[in-house]
Amino acid sequence: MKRWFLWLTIFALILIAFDNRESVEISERALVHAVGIDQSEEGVTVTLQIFKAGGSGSDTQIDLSKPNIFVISNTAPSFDEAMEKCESQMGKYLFIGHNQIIVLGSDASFDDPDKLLGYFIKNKDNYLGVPVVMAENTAKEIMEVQLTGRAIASENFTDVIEMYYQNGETVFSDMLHFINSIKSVDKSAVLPVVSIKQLSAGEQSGQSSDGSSQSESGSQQQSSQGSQSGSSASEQLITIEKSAVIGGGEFKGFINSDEIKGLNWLTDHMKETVINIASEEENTGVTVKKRNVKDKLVIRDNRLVYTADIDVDILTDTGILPGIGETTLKKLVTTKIEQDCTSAIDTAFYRYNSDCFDIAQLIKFYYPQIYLDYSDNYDALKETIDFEINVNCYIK
Amino acid sequence: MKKITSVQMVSILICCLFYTLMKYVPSDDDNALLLLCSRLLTLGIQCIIVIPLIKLYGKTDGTGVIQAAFAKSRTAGSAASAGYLLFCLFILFVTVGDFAFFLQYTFSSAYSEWAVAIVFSLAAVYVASMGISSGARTAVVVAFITILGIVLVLIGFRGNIDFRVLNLAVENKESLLARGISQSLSFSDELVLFALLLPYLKSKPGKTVYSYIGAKAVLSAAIIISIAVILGDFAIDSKLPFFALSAYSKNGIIERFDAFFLMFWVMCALIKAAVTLMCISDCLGFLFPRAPKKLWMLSPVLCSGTAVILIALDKWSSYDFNAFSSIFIIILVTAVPLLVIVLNKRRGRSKSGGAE
Repeated sequence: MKRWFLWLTIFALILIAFDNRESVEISERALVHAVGIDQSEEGVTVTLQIFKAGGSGSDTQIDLSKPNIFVISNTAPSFDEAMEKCESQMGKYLFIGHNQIIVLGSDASFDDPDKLLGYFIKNKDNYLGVPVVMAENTAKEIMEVQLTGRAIASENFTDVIEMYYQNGETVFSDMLHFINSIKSVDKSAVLPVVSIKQLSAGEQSGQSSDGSSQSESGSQQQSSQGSQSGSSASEQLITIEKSAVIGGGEFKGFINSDEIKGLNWLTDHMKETVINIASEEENTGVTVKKRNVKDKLVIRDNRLVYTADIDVDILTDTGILPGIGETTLKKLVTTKIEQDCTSAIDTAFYRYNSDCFDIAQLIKFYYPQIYLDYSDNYDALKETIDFEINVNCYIK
Repeated sequence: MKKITSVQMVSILICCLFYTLMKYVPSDDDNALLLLCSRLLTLGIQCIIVIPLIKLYGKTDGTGVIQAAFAKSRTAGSAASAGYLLFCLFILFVTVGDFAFFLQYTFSSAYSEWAVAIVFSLAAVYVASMGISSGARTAVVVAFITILGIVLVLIGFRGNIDFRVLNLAVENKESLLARGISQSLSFSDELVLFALLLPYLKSKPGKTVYSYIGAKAVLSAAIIISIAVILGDFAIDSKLPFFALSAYSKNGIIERFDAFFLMFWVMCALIKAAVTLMCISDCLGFLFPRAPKKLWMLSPVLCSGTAVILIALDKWSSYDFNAFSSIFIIILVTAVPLLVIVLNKRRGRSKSGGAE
């Protein structure tokens, strides 16, 4: 019985394999590495970086001497239509599962996140941890930048964003986090703003003499770009110097690097960073590392008070900072972190009226009935919120 | 009759539990904390409703519900076996249907539902034909690697954990809690399988079932809390939250865990379907003792065929098949064994002329 049953199973599997006429071979797929979304009166412009295997003469399909990507762009009334156009023009099925980044143009509309990112939400291949960033101008411009150091531009892209985040210089913004933020009661979110930095000739030569790693990346850049789009492209770098604040489903404004650090401290996304302290006519960089961040919400005098206790370790040796004693150093670092946090609160919460600290979540937890009472009028509740920041520094 | 150990029985039940947990589809107004509370309260209820089963095992020396009912009268035995048979067919129907439906969602829509149902049913029939001891040994391995895989999934995500997303900021807490309890009980059909598998258990039914309920509390709580704190409100938007969690999770070696999810899910579904088929085989044996022994092999054809037709007609997700399961579960897990105990007691009294 067992043998005929085994044969029956094998036969069924073979039949199913033949029946599967809709299967897509890998050669029929186009691997999407990065997606740029711009919105204008004409509709949605989608710009895709597609992996292009072209390793003639090498062992693998990836030729490190060339940027193994090409860029395709289409405009249509909706995102899905624009994607379909790209698919048709390439004659291949788009595979979004390897996507490394989503870049939103500065003119993107955030009022309906399902409309903006619906394609990714419903696509089961999509990775929820893909970083979502905003372009300073258009996403298309960013997509067309040829980055240095790697064969695949989008890989470099994510490395750049990750490094900025690790250094506390930009906010955490993956797709899951972004969707949850933008769908919250206040529709608030913060996105890293990616911009293109043009390197001047002087800067390039300076970089070359700075160190071996820089010059190595420079030489790769020259070789890859030379074959692609001329020498001018090799002078471009991706930078993240500010973040975009979204409140009430619309873009409100930017916060600078100090405010980003303040935001990261308050939202417990800061790991380690270098902060600049001003002491007796000179600026000094001090490395600080998060020890502990505790935030809670209390009611005091009929007002909601958001309190954050931030404990940090100062990693900079006082021995190399002549003239600054431990007490002074602690005081300067404390003042600077408090300033950054206050500045972030002033700009994001009060000026842009955006709850990017997710205080709504704390209200839901500590005072659920208050949240329910004000869920239709959260703005009124926001007016009763005060902030209290306490920073404690330890020398390590 | 080949017997299985407590560990093997718990493993079988854990596989059934994982299959159910992994296919959980949240409602729009679900609240993680209330869901967790309802799950834990349901487990308390389950601790109580299994007492008649344990008592019956002790009183009948492990002969099982159906045998004990047949010992009282043929009519009672036939009625009991018919009831259990129908519910097992329902379990098989939902298991195969959900498997084909969600496999299309998670894996590839290129495969037709009938193809998935055929292959799955063949595999389940094969495992069932190997007997309970082989199935139980497989279940131990599957349960172990599933728990290991879930631990890997849960530790491999980025971002901060904030347990404060577990809040009570919802209207109608009582009705949500009541709905959660009813739902959780509806998804506890493995208790019916436990009732039918009791004769195969070597010993200690109480220890076995309470160990399982304890493990269920820990695993359910871990999965619900993880989904809530990691996915946040996105869990409501996703069709299969556990699949979304697996797709989000990654570590230095594995880029994403959704393929892992599929592997665990397929294996757990296979164990559940195979064990259900064994129970169907037993029920049919009691109900139709003279019928061919391989009659149970027709049940997957019946269940898969019906399920595939519903999926093909796009009607699968429009029915809530588990809406009234809780009532049947209570009847089959508590009422029937209790009735059998009472009837046996009466018979004992009448035999002794009421001298007790």
